[in-house]
Amino acid sequence: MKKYNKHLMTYIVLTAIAAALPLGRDVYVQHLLTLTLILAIYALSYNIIVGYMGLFSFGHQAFFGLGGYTIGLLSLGEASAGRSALPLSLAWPVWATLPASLLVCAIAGYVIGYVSLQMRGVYLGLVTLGFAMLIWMATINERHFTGGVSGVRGIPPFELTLPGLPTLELSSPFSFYYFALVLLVFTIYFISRLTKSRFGRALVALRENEERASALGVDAFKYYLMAFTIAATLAGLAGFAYSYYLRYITPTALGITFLWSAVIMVIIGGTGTLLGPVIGAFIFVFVPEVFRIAEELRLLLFGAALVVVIIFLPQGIYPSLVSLWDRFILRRQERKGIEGEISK
Amino acid sequence: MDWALFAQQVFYGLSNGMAYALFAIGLVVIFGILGIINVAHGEFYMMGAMIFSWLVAIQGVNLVVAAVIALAVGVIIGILSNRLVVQPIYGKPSFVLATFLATLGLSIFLANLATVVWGAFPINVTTPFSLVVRPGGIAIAGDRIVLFVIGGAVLWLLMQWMSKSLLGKQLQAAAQDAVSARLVGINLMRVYAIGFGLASVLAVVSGILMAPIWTSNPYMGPLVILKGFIVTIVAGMGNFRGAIIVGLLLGLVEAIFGQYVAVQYREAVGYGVMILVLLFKPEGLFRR
Amino acid sequence: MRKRIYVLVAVVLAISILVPTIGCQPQEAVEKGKEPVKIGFALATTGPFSYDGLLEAQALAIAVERINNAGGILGGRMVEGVVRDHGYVTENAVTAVNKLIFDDKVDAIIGLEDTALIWAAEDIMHQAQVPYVEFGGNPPGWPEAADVGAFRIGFVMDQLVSGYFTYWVEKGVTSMVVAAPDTTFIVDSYSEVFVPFAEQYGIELFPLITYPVGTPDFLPQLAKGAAYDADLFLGVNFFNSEIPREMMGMQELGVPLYAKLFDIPTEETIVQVVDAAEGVIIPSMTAFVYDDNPVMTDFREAYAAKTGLPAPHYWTSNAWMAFHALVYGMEAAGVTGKGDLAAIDAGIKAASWRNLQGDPVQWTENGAIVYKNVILAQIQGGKFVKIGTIPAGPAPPDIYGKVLPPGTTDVGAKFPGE
Repeated sequence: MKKYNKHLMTYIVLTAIAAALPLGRDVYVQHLLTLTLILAIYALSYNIIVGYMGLFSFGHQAFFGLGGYTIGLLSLGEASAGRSALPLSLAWPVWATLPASLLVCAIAGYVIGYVSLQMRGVYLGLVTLGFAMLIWMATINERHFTGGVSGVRGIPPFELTLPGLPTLELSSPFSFYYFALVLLVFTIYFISRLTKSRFGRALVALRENEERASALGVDAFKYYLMAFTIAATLAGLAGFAYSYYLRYITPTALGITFLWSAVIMVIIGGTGTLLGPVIGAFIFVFVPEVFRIAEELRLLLFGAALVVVIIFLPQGIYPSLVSLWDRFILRRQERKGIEGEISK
Repeated sequence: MDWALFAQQVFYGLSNGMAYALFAIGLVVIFGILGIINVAHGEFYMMGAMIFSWLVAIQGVNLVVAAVIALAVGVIIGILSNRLVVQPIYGKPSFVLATFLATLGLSIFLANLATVVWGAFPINVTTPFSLVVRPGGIAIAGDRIVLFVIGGAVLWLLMQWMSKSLLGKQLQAAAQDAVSARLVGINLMRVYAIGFGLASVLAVVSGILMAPIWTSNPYMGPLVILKGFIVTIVAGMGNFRGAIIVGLLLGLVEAIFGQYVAVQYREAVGYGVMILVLLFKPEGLFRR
Repeated sequence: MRKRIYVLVAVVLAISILVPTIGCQPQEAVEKGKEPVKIGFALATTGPFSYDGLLEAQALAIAVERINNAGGILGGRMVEGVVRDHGYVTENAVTAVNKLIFDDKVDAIIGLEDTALIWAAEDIMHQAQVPYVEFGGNPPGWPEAADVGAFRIGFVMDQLVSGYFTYWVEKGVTSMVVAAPDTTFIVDSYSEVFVPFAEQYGIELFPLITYPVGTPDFLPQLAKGAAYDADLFLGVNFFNSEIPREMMGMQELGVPLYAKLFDIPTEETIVQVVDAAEGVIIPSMTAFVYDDNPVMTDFREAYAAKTGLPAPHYWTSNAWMAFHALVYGMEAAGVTGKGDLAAIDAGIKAASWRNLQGDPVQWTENGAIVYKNVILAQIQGGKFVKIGTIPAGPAPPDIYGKVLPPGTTDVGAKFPGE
């Protein structure tokens, strides 16, 4: 119980720090921070597969993009006429598009997971990549339905009206930041509860030794499918935020670049941890911006930095920070112990 | 049915397929032996094509000399990449993901390095073989014939070497079963290093052969890497002969599908087949 | 293990030192009224399109230097150019524009030369009341009349295609294969501009929207297009990486009459494929670098004086023109236009610099400066040779915003025989 409180305090402090970050900064930094939080949700969802399940998926970008596209297609209204090549004007409000996009991603995750989760290792990664590429190709080619390479333009701003409450409208990076922060806190809370539940323990047991866990009666496929679906749904949540934030979505959002970004964020940050992917998202967004001091070389430097970090910290930055901290504490306790003995 | 058009598509399909096979066999070597996905393989191929094209088209170097230099530089890049990027992480927990990311970083680095060195403007190289003959209305380009002849020779030599020489046999053994290979006393680290070097040679060779057929630019790598994955998977892990056949078939199917079914979905065929093979024959079509 | 700790400390230190410096540009104290006019250049200086972006940045630097040597604008204020890379990626365009507006605090923005880029970022610029000039790609119907402070320099697709169709109809062409990559603005232009024009002129159109940008293996698709035996094979392609290959492919397949839309081939590109390009006809309204209009003459001379090289291709000359339209517009308006879009709008339209209003350019109703005529050039002996000028004709009435029913003639339509 005491330990739980300590963790809770840590998270409250971290949230407070996060809430203070965009204060007094210009819109550019607020934009980067908002982008970081949205990508952090995406990275956390990918981490469920890579970190907690210990499996590969190279098709996670499809769920991110599907979430975004669902919003794009359902939310277009009369006001978007002329700004969009699509003949759609459904004009669904936020409270309807959110469950719709989550549902679409959950179904897609369930179906793709159901088909491919018999596979393991790199094979699973490549079969999910195959599905993602097929979805990407269909998005580009079926332009009467998806807007094609031009994407969906003119997504209305995020506007939530609940009875008895004033309308919540998020049209600036600053206001959207706090919405994204709420989503991120929810995601972290959800995943931490998930990992502590019986379900989460079963997942970890499967990751550590699938054969033994299966022998003990854990239905591996069922658990994997469940976790895969949850991960897809959370990726859809990130896509939802991304789509409403940029108010424009193109096939890039379900293309291979978003696979690379997920891999970079999760592995650089640290797989199987709660804060690792968040740190990874922060690095993914901010480091290329730092390298803007050499505009033409920034991607070159970013690539080199990735290699260097992964060589020296193959487990990711967050776990290394933790072990450093542990060692620091340990040494202090040792010293204290020695001092205590001397004083006796 | 226009048979000349059909023959034309078959010719283009097979020659594209030859390039896929040459490219993919390097991926098969690395994937088979080390069990890792080398995302930077496309950039090794790009480096080969760029160095060769730059030397021939811009510096006016003799074709053979340029090819030798490109091969030498390519091998050095391959060996250095193995030594500096892959080896330090290899064998550690979750190294498959770590090497995936490390080689991804390497590919970003190499593509941008090539842009800084040569610029993003594509280099087009013309060889003495860049002629076209039209027997029966079918356009046959000399460079594609060169690709068939040299590519076929390289693949044949590779297969001979794999099945005849001791080192080749060790390589194949390690590709098929690393644990047993170690049991019979094969020095795996040495085999890994040689495998990586061999793979980069093959990537560079395919780059050099493709340079006169497609243009070379620093961002040509990612366009073929996914085809390489498809070939690797469909053929089956560590299966070299299968990779050659599947590579050729992939090019052929893309061309025929584009001509007679739906041109905008021709690349979907490869992914579709990959998914089906993984689902119903996960050990690959050609696994012995 | 010890090594690892040092590395970790270094990483944490690096992050903690570098990150707070983001978004904190040093503000120098400058005399009021003498502070530089900052103009942001949002270009692709990395990635596959850096070839264009770096040349544009170079031309813009020359233009900035020349303006400053002549004493600056607005009563002696110097012009300062800030280049920010967007790498031709939508998300990065939003980031680059945010950086330019809120961190670099620019007074105006030039660049974002593609439909997707301008669409992603235009609301930000509009809300921040920063005027912007787009000079490359072709969002159909953009800018709209209501977009005060938004400008486009270059060409308008419907006028280009109109003049072009007129030319080929006169030559007796009744069927056309259009081969193009599936890039944003080409696909949009195709369905929204080509199809209506083809209907108007009664031309049978075979769409061949095939190769993704940069795909090396498009010869099978070209072979498919060639098999239709249309009167004209039109390559709609503007990527330098593909043009030489496309021309050589058409030659390889023995396509008798083929042409290119857009004048991207530079002499550099042409030299690569000199035999294959021989005789190819290229229509253009886009600041034809080799044309003798005053703006281009000015650009050529300034560029050659600085670098000793011939002027690069048209994106660069459009960037040059965009810059001058903007600074002379500021001069005419008497303000930079930041926060006062109506003033800069009037200023740019009133600026009388080097024929921006006269021949060969004109204003559209929406706020684009475009070329009046379609210039036809042919490649003869590795050089562009101008073979004619055609005034742009009238456009079909409902050319934009028309969404075609699936099937029939639109992109992705079934080809005969499929």
